[in-house]
Amino acid sequence: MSFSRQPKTFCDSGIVLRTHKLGETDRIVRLITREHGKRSAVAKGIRKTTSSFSGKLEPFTCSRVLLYEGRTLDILRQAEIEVSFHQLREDLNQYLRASVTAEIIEKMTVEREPRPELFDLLIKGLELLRDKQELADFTLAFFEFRAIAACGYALRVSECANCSSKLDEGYFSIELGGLVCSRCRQRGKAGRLLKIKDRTIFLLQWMAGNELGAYPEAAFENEIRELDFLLEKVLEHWLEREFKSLRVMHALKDQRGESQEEILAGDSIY
Amino acid sequence: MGVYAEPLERVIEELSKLPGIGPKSAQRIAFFLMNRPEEDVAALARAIFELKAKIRFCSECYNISDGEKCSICMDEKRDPSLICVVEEPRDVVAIERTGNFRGRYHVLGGALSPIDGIGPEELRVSELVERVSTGVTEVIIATNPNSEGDATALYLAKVLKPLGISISRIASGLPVGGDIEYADEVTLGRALGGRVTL
Repeated sequence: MSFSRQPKTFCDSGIVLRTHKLGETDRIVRLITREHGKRSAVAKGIRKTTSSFSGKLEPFTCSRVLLYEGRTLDILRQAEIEVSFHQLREDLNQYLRASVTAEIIEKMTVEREPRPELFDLLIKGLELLRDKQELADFTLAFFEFRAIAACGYALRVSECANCSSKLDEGYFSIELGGLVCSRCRQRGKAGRLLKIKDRTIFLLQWMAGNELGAYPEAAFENEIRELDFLLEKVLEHWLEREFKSLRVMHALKDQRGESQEEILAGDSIY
Repeated sequence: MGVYAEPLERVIEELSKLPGIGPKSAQRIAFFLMNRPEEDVAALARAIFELKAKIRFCSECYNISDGEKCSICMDEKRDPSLICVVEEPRDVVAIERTGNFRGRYHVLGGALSPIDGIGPEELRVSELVERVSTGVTEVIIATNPNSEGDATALYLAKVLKPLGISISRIASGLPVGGDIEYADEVTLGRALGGRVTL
């Protein structure tokens, strides 16, 4: 009687999150598949110019892949592009935002644990980034909001995150993951707080009641920047990780004079 | 305590740290070296030691060099107003092999990769901008035709455009010897976009 596990070959749709060089001509491709979770697979010879893989396994590409399951690393046998999302690689801003979505999904998932809802969320996010370039900042913020919810940390934005009573002011608690009432704030039960605008609260509540792909009728440019700042703090707090792509995106924004530090005055963090 | 004598164990251990060399290969190389004449082994040791002691980056283009400037930057026949930007020193060798480029190079030391935390600060972009503002008229961006290389090219174009120079990107498409049947739609699309009149 043999106890050795039989390796198996399977086919699935996968979105490439990132790639690493391996040896002279190979790459390790990390992708999130719909039914088989996040996988790391070796694409042999992909860096050769004549490889049939090259172009099919670039970051953000959704491909139908045939994988041979290994102990720690799978082996990529075949790949066919389903959606290339090449437009996201032809514009620097879109590329940066798509990198953020890919990094969020990468850090939120565990190897080989199926998370079809996160796969669908990423596909939706990439489609919106590709098709609605003028609304890309809002799309990214909404994507972050939905990703946080998909991981079980849904933000509490319609009642106090500490005592569930009615909200009477605009303070957001990073530790509690939601808005807090004046009583809880004064008692010091809410941890690190951000004072946010009424319109940002409205936007948070609107997001809680809508699905990714919907857009509010009014323009919320300043509020989106505030929201972005807040959601990044929540992501970093709950996942206990630094998001490298966010750091690079902000560094490039700083070069263009769009410093994120100006979004919230330093004294609004308590 | 290891199976072999201590000096042999040490060589095996050091060789195992090299890329692509596992413990078994390290043992085989160590035994091979042990059986070589002393002068051959000494020559290898000297070559490795000098590699670290003498090799440095060219102060102008950041290519690998054994002096202050590399042989390409020292060559007066090469056009200093034409710069080819590449990711790594190995890319310089690949382009030199074509024999079609008579300008000089600039080695960035990598490519933009937000997910790995590599931004412009981690690359030699400011050095390039400084160089370009001193008499360069054309820059050819020869970063790899992948997402990181394309993003780097887009960023460099944005940074260099205000300097009023000619900026171009190397073409990409089907490789010589490849089959159209196996090409992906993005590569084929680029090949069609960059078609040449016969």
